[in-house]
Amino acid sequence: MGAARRICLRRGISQGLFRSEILYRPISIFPVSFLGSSLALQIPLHNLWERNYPIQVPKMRFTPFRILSASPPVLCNNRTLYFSHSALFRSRRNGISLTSTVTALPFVRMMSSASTRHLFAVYAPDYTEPGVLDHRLSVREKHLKAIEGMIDSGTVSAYVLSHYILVP
Amino acid sequence: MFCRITSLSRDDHYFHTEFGGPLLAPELTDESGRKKMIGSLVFYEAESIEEVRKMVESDIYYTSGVVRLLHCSRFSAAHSTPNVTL
Repeated sequence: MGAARRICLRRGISQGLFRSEILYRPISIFPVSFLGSSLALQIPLHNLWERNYPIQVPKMRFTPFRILSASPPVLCNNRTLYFSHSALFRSRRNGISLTSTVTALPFVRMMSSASTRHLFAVYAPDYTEPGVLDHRLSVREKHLKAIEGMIDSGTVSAYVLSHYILVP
Repeated sequence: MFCRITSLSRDDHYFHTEFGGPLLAPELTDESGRKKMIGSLVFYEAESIEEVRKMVESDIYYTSGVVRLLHCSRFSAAHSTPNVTL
């Protein structure tokens, strides 16, 4: 028995050296002031040295590792990883570590609104007045600039820009 | 050669112009060598025809009196090249 242990016993201070103290030590709760306000957070701290309590498995999905891409095959082939409960408990029974129980399930693309889009053809001929072509060429720069702005904002696809470059 | 690039943020007001361009007269150029453009032909992808009309009528060609919206209707592509998805 060391000197520190002897001092603790004399002063009646338990350091939790006995196994029974460690096993049945209640969850300690520390009030922590948050940003100096009166709001106090109570954080339960578990005994991490001897884990005899059941592991709390959160009943929520693991954060999906989704690849943000506009390519449909990437979206289709992408898989979302999350913990499957059955695999988790099966592995715990078999003594496999938690990190090996990550199951890959098919990625389901969640659409916010199922909108049906159609193709529309617009035929807009010029007026047949004499000065229309000059007016069209004078306004054309603004027209192309507006389309470039829409391409930057993602409203118009870049395919339009390529066509406008090809037909000056 | 051309790859179709669409926006990542597909919100409710997302509007997508497929492609478009000017229509040329049979003589192609006028006496000064300029392209003789006689109109516009645009293909839109939208939910309703009102969206398309709103899009066309907000363009400067329409507001400044160059083009008139003569025809706007649904379009169904019977054939498309592999690089161009209609």
